[in-house]
Amino acid sequence: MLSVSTDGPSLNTWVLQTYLKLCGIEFCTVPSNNHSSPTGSLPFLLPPAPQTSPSTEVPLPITPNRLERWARDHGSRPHTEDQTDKRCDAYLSLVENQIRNAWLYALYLEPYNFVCVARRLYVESSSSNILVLALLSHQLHTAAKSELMKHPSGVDADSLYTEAERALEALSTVLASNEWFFGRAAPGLFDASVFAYTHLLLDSNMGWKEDRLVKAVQKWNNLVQHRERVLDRYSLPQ
Amino acid sequence: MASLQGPEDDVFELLKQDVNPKAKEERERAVNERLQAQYEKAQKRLAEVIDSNSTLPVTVSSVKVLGASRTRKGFLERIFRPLLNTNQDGPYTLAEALREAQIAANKLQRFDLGNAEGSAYGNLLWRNILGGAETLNLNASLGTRTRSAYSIGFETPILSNPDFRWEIGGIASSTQKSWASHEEVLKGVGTKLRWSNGGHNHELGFSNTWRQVTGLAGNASPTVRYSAGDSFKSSITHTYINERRDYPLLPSRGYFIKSVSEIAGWGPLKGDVAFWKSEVESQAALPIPIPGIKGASGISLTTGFRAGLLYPLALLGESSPQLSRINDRFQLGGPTDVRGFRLAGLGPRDGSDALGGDVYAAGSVNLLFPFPRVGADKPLRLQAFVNGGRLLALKKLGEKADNQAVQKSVHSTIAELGNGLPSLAAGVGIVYAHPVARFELNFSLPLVLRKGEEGRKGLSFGVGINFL
Repeated sequence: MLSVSTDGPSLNTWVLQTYLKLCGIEFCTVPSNNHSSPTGSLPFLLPPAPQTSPSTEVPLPITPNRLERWARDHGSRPHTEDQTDKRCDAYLSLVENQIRNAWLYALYLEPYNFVCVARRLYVESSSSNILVLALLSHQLHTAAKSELMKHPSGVDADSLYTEAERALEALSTVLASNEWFFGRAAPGLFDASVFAYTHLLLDSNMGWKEDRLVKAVQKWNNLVQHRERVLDRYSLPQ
Repeated sequence: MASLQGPEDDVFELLKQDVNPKAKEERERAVNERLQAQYEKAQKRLAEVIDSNSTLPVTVSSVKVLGASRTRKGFLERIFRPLLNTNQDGPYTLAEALREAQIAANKLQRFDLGNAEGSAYGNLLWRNILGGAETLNLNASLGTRTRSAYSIGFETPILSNPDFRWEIGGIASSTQKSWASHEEVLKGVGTKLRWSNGGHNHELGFSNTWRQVTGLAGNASPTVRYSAGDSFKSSITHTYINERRDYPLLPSRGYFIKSVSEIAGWGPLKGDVAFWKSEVESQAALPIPIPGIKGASGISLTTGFRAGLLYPLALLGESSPQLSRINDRFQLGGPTDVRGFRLAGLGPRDGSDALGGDVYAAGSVNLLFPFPRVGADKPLRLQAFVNGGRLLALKKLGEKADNQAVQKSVHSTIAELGNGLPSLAAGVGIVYAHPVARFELNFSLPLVLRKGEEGRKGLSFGVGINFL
């Protein structure tokens, strides 16, 4: 069976799981960490070993950039072609830049969130040793910071949140009263990408302490309903 | 197969259905064919573009050589200067420019700059620091297999007794473990107590190590991928050595016994791994006299035996014992233990990765002769050997095995060691004992090989201080 290596409830993992379900692909999730990944980032897919091949052949892992294609080739269900839609690309860049940056800030650089969410979910599973945990936390913190420094807003909380708020407003406008984004009949990778953020921000189990980004999602009723729709339709684990 | 236009309620049914393997195979084939066709088309298109524009004038204004940060600029300039337009009489056609670029690239290739391999080593020893025979030892080495290793150690005798010493130190290292497609990064601190008593040497150590299995190769097996990540080992180790060989690197008489016992993670030790690990190692040498020749004939028989067991324990507050990790398991095979096998060539595997085992035993019999016309006094010998061993993982242990299941599994795995012939190899070779290390060049032939194990037929070279 296909296995998905994850590091707890991370948002990329949610994109992946949701998308695989949308494509009708069976999988199981396996706890993992960045060291296992071929690119250093999670999640990734390990395809099942072909039964016909000799045992020495190992299936190569599938990283997120090859995922959409792989899912389309192996899925049992047709779904909307995302790549043909230029509009989708434009909005996807909102999700992958403005919203992602605010998410990185909220998760790793807000001190209370870092301790209560990021550290609890991603660091504490690695080891039981306090020193190791402290070192890993520090690494994670610096990695998020250096990732944010690549963008013009840097680590300025106010501008990051404001940009994310505008992006969410744009998403809410484009979704309008439709069931799925861009008025499609069935959800696609874009729905999965948005869901990954809205779900983790709205999930009460995450225990957000500094909740400006959470409130920014809650403000848009149709985005909240979109999240519930995906949850209901694909019976994803809460 | 799932019907394509199923009603909404059937979603769960669809998700539950397995995809027909035959259909999947067909689809995979179709995908591959499509990829192949696309690739060919792209190649053809590129060729057409070049072909139809081959007489167009082009200019080359700059040349960039990637991945040559360590090569002198002046050196590269001499090769690529003729390519630049400023150094040409007239403009190129596209075809000419491509040809010139090819010529320059070929020139560069013939230099075989490659990725340099090698290693460097540095050692700093500071004696009698505080006037009480204390030493401070700093070590640094860089290389291709052991990427880097740094250590620092402070040692002092206790109560002015040379046979009773205390050491405290730290290490940081990064080692390429190509037999299991990963790199192990270690950072640790530890303290040791050493004492000796008439040839019986003891060492009692306590160490804390942060281990990372990282830097996985692209084709690493799923098992190695699952094993990647961090773990913290807190352990107490006891080592006992009894050295009775006349010349340890090339013994002709005497024996040697070493045992290492380690307990990790148990009770107050904590950490992420918990196990008991024991290893014994022994060697015995016997001179063989030849009737008619006075004194030592230089012919000797040596036998070696090694065995190890890793017994899973439960961490404090957990009910089920921890299954062993790839960092802690034993590896067997290679020119310094079971000759005639690749490095870590014995034992359980996933694909091409050696996963290591929890139980092993290995033995060897070597017959050594003096080199003709060199004599028995020189540290040079011819040898004939037979050696073999088995490395096994604990059997039938699930994720949530209790103590009793572990005990049963250990027993049955040990019993399995004696079941059938071990993996065996025989060979002949040359042995040279240099004062710092022993060198062996052997021609070996694997005789018994289990499925998946990697034998090595032919010549192999080994350097070490501790041979089986």
